[in-house]
Amino acid sequence: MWIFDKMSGRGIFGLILSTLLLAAPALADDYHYNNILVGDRAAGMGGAFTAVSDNASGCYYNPAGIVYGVGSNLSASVNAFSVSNKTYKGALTDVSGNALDWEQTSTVLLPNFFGATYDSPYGTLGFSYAVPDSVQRKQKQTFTNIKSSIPGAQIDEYILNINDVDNTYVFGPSFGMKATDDLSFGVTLYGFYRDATVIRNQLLRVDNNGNDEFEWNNGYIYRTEYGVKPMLGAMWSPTEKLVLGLTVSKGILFDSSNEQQVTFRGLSGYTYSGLPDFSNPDSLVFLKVDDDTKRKFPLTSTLGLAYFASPELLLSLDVSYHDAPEDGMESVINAAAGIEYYLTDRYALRAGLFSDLANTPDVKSGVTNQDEHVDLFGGSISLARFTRSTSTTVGVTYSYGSGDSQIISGSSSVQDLESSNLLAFLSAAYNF
Amino acid sequence: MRITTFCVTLGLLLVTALPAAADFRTRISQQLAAETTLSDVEAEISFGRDVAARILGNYPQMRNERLTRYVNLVGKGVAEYAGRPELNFHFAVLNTSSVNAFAAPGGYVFITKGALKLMQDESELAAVLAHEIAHISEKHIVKELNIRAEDEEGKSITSLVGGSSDPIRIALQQMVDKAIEILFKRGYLQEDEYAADLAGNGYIAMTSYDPTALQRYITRMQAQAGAKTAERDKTHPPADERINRLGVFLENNQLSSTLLSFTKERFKRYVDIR
Repeated sequence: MWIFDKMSGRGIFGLILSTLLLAAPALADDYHYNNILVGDRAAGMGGAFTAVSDNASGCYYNPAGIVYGVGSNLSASVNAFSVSNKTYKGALTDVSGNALDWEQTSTVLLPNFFGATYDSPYGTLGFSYAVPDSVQRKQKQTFTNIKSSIPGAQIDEYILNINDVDNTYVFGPSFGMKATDDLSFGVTLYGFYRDATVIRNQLLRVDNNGNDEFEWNNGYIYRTEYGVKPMLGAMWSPTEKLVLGLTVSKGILFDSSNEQQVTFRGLSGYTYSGLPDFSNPDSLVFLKVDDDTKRKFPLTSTLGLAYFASPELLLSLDVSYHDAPEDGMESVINAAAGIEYYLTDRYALRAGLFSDLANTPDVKSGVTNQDEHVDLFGGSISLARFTRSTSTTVGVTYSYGSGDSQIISGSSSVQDLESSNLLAFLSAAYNF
Repeated sequence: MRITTFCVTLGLLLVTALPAAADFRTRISQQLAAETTLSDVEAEISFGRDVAARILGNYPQMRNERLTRYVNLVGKGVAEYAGRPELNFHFAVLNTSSVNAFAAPGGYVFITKGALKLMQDESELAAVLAHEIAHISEKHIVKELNIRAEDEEGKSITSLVGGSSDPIRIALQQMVDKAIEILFKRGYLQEDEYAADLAGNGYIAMTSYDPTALQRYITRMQAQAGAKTAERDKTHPPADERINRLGVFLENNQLSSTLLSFTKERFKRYVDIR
């Protein structure tokens, strides 16, 4: 056994280690910025809440808006059930030439928001906790009779198990104050914490020139990140019923730890780049990389517009600009539109549309190891019931997109990728 | 002329009774919070009864049936115009030389012997009682302490009043403590005091008492400021400002020169404070 000490770039998950060359797996969805919508009103309105923000979830969307809440407010997403699915079309090909899909599904049940606001003589204080991204992705697939890139070899059986748990948390105080009756400012100082673990195990039973052999690859990633994400907000009402909201935020990491391990057993007689031959069936390779490179986050600016048409009807629109934080990533403009309509004084219907565009470049032909690129578009709908001091909301958000990916490392072949996310949520808010 | 003036005054009262400048952000569901139910009234009365008991614990009631009956007649006459027909107003005189008056939610009004001694006619008595009635009718303490019946999905005063457990009784006690602190130490919010001045002035004008009575009374109280008015002075806005605002209100509503009833003789007949 020998240790492979230091790697760069995509890490050892992306090394050419196998006769079946899977790409380095993405952790939680780093390619998009609107992975989970939070807040009881905001989620139902497609996240178009920057110019509304007049309850506890305003701490997350625009702290300048919390000054317009009625009394003190406590808001919690009691439960959110998230199901996401990615299908890599034709990721594999069997010996008969049939394309086989590679499919990953994530299901998460979690409370994804809690917030409270309190009026004080100087302004409105708030505290909130949110989970803007959470994945518990699982893949358990077995394929048979797969083509191999090794001449004379055929993969009789391919067993793949992936378990990916990746949660991002933000939590911290907010403060909003009125400059005039029509103008307010606010700030939120979120602490940022991410904890991710990926375990991938793949076993290939290979007919290696008539010999029945196994290739085994077991990988482990553990990543933690600590940082802050401050947000500045302003809200201005130029005329009756019309409100403009503006926020600027940026995440900054103080500490990042990324540990990757791979244990590998190869096929005999086959040369893996930089690795010993595996003619001895007991020889294993253990690779380990510790990397403290800190991810960079985009500077995000969001402009919101809300029109309070009547006590029954509210329309809102958000446009967000995320700059390109690193080389190889692209700037993104997302938009969201929402509507809130009160059927009666006790029931409100909310709906929204939103985009969630990828921050990766388009996948090009003739190039290898490119990040996937899928632009998502979604909608949301919710129903809220009110009593004098409480509201209870049930709703769903759904987004879908198709694009391209390169799931096979070192290969220039491009796979179609379909991605969908469904979030069902139950929220409660209490005014006191 | 008098009818016209009263109509203008009534209109003004109705306007001031509405929520301040309806905020366009207000959603229709928030009207639920503003609705008053029968249970809310019961909670208000029950809470007010406890506060009234604490007031009487601070100052004993004056045992003078004739005087108490007279104050009740004047007070109930004014309260007819307060817009709270669901409340049964009770008036009592406190046996203290301190110059003050108090209102507990639910319709309990107290005036001190010292205050009566400072008054010169029935219209001034009606004006002071009207000011306290306005605190009740406008629910100043009720709103500030958020006293209301139980929401089916939230906690409320009804369960507190029910006192079914020690923590609930303690919470109720804390609410009563806060109300007593407002009445005796901190005072109402300043805007609530000004609002009570104006609303009370409207009540007495509609009851046909002299609308300048409160101005006269405050002016006299200001002139005699001292130990006996200290408690009232620290819980109320500056007298000059109150007088100015009342003057503007009377002028704008053409009430400053309206000659209505002083009823000095009857006042002297019933109120004989030495």
